[in-house]
Amino acid sequence: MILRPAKKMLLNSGDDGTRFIMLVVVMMSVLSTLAVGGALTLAHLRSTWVDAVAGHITIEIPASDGQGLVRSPDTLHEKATAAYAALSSTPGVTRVDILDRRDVEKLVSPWLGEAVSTNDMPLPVLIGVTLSAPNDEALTQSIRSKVSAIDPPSIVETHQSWLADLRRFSLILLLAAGGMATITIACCIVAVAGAVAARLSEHQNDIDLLHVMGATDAYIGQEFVDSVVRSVGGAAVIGTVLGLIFIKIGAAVAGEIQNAMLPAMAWKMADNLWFLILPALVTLLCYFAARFTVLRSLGTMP
Amino acid sequence: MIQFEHVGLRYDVGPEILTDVTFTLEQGAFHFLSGPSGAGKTSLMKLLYLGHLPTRGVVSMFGQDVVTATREQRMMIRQRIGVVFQDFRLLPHLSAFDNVALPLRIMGKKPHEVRNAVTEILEWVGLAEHINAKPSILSGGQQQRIAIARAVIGKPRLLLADEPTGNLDDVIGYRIMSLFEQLNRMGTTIVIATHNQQMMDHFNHPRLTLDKGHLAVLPPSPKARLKEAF
Repeated sequence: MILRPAKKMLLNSGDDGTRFIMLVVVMMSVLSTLAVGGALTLAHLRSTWVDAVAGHITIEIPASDGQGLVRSPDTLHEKATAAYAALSSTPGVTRVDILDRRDVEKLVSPWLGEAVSTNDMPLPVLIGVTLSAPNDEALTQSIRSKVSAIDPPSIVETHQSWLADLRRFSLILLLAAGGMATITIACCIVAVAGAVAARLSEHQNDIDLLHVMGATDAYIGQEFVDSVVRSVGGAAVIGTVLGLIFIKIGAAVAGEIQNAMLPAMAWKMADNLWFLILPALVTLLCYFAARFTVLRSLGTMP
Repeated sequence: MIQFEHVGLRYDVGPEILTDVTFTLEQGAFHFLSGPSGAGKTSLMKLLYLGHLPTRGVVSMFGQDVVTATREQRMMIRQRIGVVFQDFRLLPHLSAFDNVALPLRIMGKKPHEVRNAVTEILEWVGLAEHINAKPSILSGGQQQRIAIARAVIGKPRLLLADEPTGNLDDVIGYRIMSLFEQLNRMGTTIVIATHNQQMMDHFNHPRLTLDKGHLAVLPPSPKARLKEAF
């Protein structure tokens, strides 16, 4: 007579209810992973955009004067040189670049089209200024005063207005991604609670039997919760791994699309922790949902 | 030890299934519970194993009023009761060993204690060879014996059995009844619900007789006492 190792007592872990819970959690974990991946990419993209713009000012010396008369190239050159000299000697300015005409032509070509010649077209002079500290209001004001003294119609663009729009837009996207992850996890919890309630009905006779034998609510509840945690934990890890595979495929596809505004899907190394936290969080929340459902149901028994 | 005083039971708003049931079971008592179908035997058994609480009256078990007891106290009372169900109620995905081990595991016994006790009791009911078998491959009689082994393994102070020999042949049936008597001699209070008149006549114990929800306590049958005297 050989005694085989004892099995878990109450639940048959291979039943339909377990498979249903696992399937739901895998799908929800994939969606949560995609949402978190999207949120991290957006956060990375946002900081990339902000870093690229925040410490820079662009000065435009217009091609026409205040009365609408087109200025000669010599006048424009003279104003640009004076501005260059004034800005270069300003403390806090680390770099000044005057864009040559070809660079300006490149900038306007998307609006004019390749077929239109810009040879005889009056184009403004653009000066790129790099500051040692971003968002230095006093320095910006000093630059405005100096440029205005050299050429009153000149425009000093700090990019703050569209940077603010960009920040707002990316924040909305971030919130949407975070909201999607939250809703997905909430759906997962509701589905697990529902599945646990269904399993309680399915195992009602077994529960009654354990009750008759003197099993406490905590004991019976633990039987269910242990089973749920094992199923959900495994499913959450599988779902997260699948989600990461989808993100890798998406990143590979995005990497083939050359676009300066849309860098490939990427995030900081430390952000990878989110993908360890996610299955643990899903499992923990499902544990509490299962425990609450089971104990509430058992509490109705005599 | 067990006292019912003017106990009534009804399900929801239905009629009273048990009416003014009053009796006392002393420690070490052995009673048959009999009565026609629908008389309320199963309901009385449910009250005895705290599957239901009475709608009215007082039920006191092991010195504790079950209605006012906390859930934890009721669980402790239940752990002192062994129940053999008519339909066995074995967990189908568990082996004979695991089914019999359930009460000990609920009590928190150590694995080696569980192993020794279950092995011993399965040998005692003649099912040592089927220790790893699932209930589905065992006969009705074998399942019945596992259910009995499960009910007695925790050395309960009260053993309730609903038609415990209904699926057994006479030899095994009488052997099981002798086992109950052995347990009774060791101090276990026993209540057996049965229709088996021959068995009630053979084993000389008082009867709780239910009829339309009313209980009468009858002494051992005179015929049996006569048989015992000679």
